Amino acid sequence: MGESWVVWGGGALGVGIRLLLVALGSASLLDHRVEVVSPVTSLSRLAEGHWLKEYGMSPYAGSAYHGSPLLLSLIGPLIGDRQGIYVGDLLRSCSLFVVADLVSALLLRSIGKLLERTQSQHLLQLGVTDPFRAKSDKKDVLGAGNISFLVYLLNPFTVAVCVGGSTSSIENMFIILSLYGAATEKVPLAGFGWAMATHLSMYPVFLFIPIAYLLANGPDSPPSKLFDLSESAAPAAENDSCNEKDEKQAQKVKKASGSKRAVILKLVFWAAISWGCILRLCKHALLERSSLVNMWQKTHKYMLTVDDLTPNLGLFWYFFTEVFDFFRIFFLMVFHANIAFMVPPLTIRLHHRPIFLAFILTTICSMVKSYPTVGDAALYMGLMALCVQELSDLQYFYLLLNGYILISVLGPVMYNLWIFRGTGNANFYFAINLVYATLQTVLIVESVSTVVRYDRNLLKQVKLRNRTKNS
Amino acid sequence: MEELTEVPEVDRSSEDARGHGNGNIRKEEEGKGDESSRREPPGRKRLFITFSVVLCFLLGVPFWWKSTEVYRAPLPFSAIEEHARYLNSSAFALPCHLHIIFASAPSHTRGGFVTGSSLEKVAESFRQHAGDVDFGVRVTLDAEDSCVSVGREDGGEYWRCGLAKSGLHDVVDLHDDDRLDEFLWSFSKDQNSSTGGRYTVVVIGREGSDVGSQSGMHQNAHVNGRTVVGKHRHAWMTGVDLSHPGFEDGIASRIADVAMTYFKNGGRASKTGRDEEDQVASMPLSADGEAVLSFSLLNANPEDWIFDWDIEEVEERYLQPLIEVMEPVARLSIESQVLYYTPKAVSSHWDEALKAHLVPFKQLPFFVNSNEWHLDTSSAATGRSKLLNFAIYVPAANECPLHMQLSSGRISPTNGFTSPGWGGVIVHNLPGCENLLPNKSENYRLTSKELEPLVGVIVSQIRALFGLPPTFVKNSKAGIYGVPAAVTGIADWEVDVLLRRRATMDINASASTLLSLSRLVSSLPNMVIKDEIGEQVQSSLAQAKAAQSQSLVGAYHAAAEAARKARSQAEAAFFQPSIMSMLYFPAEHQLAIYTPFFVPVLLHVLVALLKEGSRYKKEWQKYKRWHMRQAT
Repeated sequence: MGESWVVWGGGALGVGIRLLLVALGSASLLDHRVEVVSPVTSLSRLAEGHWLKEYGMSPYAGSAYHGSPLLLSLIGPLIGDRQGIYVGDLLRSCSLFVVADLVSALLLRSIGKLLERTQSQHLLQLGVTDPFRAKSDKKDVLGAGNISFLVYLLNPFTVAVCVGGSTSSIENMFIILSLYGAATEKVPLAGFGWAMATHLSMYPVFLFIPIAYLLANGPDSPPSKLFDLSESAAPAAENDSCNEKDEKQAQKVKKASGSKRAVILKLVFWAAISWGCILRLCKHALLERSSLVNMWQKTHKYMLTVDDLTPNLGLFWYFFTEVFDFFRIFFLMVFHANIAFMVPPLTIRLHHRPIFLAFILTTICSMVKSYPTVGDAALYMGLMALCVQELSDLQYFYLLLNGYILISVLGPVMYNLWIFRGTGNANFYFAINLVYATLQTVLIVESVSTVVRYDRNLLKQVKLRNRTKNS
Repeated sequence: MEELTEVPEVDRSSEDARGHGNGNIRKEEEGKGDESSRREPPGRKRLFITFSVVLCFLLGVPFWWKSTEVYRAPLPFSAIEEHARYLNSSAFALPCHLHIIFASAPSHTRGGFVTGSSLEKVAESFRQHAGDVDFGVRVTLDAEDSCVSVGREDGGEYWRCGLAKSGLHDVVDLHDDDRLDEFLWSFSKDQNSSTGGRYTVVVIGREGSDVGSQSGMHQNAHVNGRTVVGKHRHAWMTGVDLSHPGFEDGIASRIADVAMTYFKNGGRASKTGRDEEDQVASMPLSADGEAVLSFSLLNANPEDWIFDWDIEEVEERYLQPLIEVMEPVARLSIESQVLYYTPKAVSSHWDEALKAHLVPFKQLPFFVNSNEWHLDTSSAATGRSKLLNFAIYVPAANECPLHMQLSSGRISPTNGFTSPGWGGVIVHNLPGCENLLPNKSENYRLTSKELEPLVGVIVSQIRALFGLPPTFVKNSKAGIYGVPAAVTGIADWEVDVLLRRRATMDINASASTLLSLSRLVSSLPNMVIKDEIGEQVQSSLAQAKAAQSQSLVGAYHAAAEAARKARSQAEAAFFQPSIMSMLYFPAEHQLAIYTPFFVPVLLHVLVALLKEGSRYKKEWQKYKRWHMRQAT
């Protein structure tokens, strides 16, 4: 009972905070913060694009709008007067984002519940005690789903992004939707979510790998060799307690490779279908005022070539204001390739934990994407909470938490010093960006090593059990 | 899975495991047998991870190669060197031609004083006196009944005989230089003899030879007549006694003097090469032969009076002809502005004797107040064109008759001065201003009539800035006079002088610019050279060659235009923006660009590759050993 109180109370609190902040008109405060909106996600730019479209011009005329034409049709009419004084107007303009956040949180909760369930099944199957649950009484602990739900809704970053006029909430919702579809083996949903997320913000393209693994191998599980080891020991053990269930589970885990391929082909098919539909819809939404090629140039190419060097949370702007033009293309490639470089080794190492892999890849993207905002941090923090069981042993958690608080406070201060007071310079602000990037690096490294350690620990326990059985 | 067991077992997290049975783990390790053997082949996961990272880097290499490729358009280095060497050995110069015409009265030819042989003698003597190889000379006797020419033929017949018949002597008798100048101009114009670099000296014989023979007291007595340099490309000598035997040498020396001093060097007395070069270097033009004449009316204290001026009319009436005649030399354009509150930077002192405020000669260099005279107008400040400022300074009422003192102590008659390469300053005193009360702020308008004397000074300042003598030819001691070019301000032959100087300067400048460019390019091997630069260099060289070949046939304007293009292309190539940014990019910067990211990353990747490779080999050997032992 206490659990549901905490969860639903927390959820209501999250939604309430959002509505209250919107009604108080904080949107106009956060609207132009570089931490909250990027040129790609800005709602004021979207309003400009919407106006241009209504005026009979291409929404991409000039250099205002860099988002999807679908968002233009979806959100454009809702925006209205964002600077207005009527609470009704303000709530209406923000309602969609609150709903998107709520949906994301609920989807995260479902994924989490599923993860919890499979997790306990796996552990049972391996005959290992859960180190996470073993530590404390089971009743008191919220599950990964509930934690993730609360983390996503109550995270100040998510709140700021939702309230502050950014379309990140919707992008995040589609990413989570695709993961949810993959986790619950709804292939069309996964394909659609992935296609939408890719269309809106390009970087989720790397999430295809975790989604495919999720569909093929099921949700996060210990390495498959553990099960082999466990099974080889099982006949010797001859325990009749939960044998039947175990075997069923094992069969499920070890799907035939043929069906795996079929599932992935299905995913590719649905993703392609979704992409086709999205492009068709975009063409329709653009009303002959702009071409799809132009759309691509103004959205994904704009992200790739980093045309806007306005300071933001990322590392690109500072570097590309300094670099020689001669090296610009090369370093653009190097910066973007940083993400691609990490994908193969991480996939090899973590393919048995697709949700965790998705979390790591999202964090890496957030670190080296061209126009990052705290919305990306909101997403990976939500995904991180899904792996709370594996990450319960995370080191430097205290340091990381304080680091995030530090940058949330000092970032705006340094920006203010540089841009408005004129007493600082670009290095002041960029130093904070470097701290932020370092924090994320530490988070990635520590998370990966914690999970590897967790797996190793499981292995040790299985071996130990085998030996005790054998002896 | 095995590789997991390879990792040193220092698990902080495995409290359970440790708690349950440290001994068991140890037992397991013992049970595994000795450490140098293993039962299964080693796992390859670590190797795959390492190789996937290395592979990513390898995939990046072609992109790196392609995107940072240094494109260098081929430059004709040897041609540039050769061109510069050629110019060093033989200076580029546009050739001059002189045509000496004896338009004698009928009586002289009949007497036989001027004959074919004396023409030869004059030509020979002229060559000796002028001592300059590129002054082609031709001598013609244009008498009523005969017309004989000797000397170098230059591009076709351009002198129609019959000057004597067409009433020359009637004009001479009027003793009006202007009329005579116009007569000669109209006579030669319709015969196309007036292109650049072709000069004519008409020697007009005198009626009756008695005066000359009587006053034979010194060597040159028989040529004591008047020499007048016209405003086109003529000079003429009147009152020359042609009856004296051996007159040829005197005439030739006189003509050579005129030709060298005026036609060739623009009236500068000094003919040394160095001085000439200095003047050439100081011609106030931009790289592509343009200059902006910026006229500013500076009102030192508008509380005393406010001035406006009819500069448009002045421009149209007085300056436009000058601009037109200067067209081959320089493209001039005009701007004007009125500035207020522009005090001069030096103080004057009151001189009771002269009843004027004086600025001493030594103070003149500090007259221009660069802090408060904002003369640079926006359109001229951008772009590369040269700005020549002409400041008309109206002093405040309390120092109104403001005059400039010459070094001799007298008052400057022009009340202005020039500063080479910058422009000129003229002080304009309102007539009767010493009686005006200050702080009345009355409005005045300078009409073009009032401005006329100032314009005269400005024109002479422009002449001085371009390296011509400020006033027209007048040398009464030697009996040489000039016809002032009243309308244009610059005579045709003076334009020729400037044109020659500019063409020489342009050709030399283009050669030296190209030479510097080729040195720069070869000194910076990682500099990108765009095709555009290559094209500009090629076209500059081609234009320079064209200028040389045109100059040989005497096509003045074509040669000068080609020279101008050669220089402007060379400058454009040298100041290409893509080069400019790379000038400050030495090779060491490459290191600074690559090291911060790639050295740490690649170092780790390579170390990991080595470590994993050797580890895998070792583990494989362990397995092999165990396998062998099993087999035996």
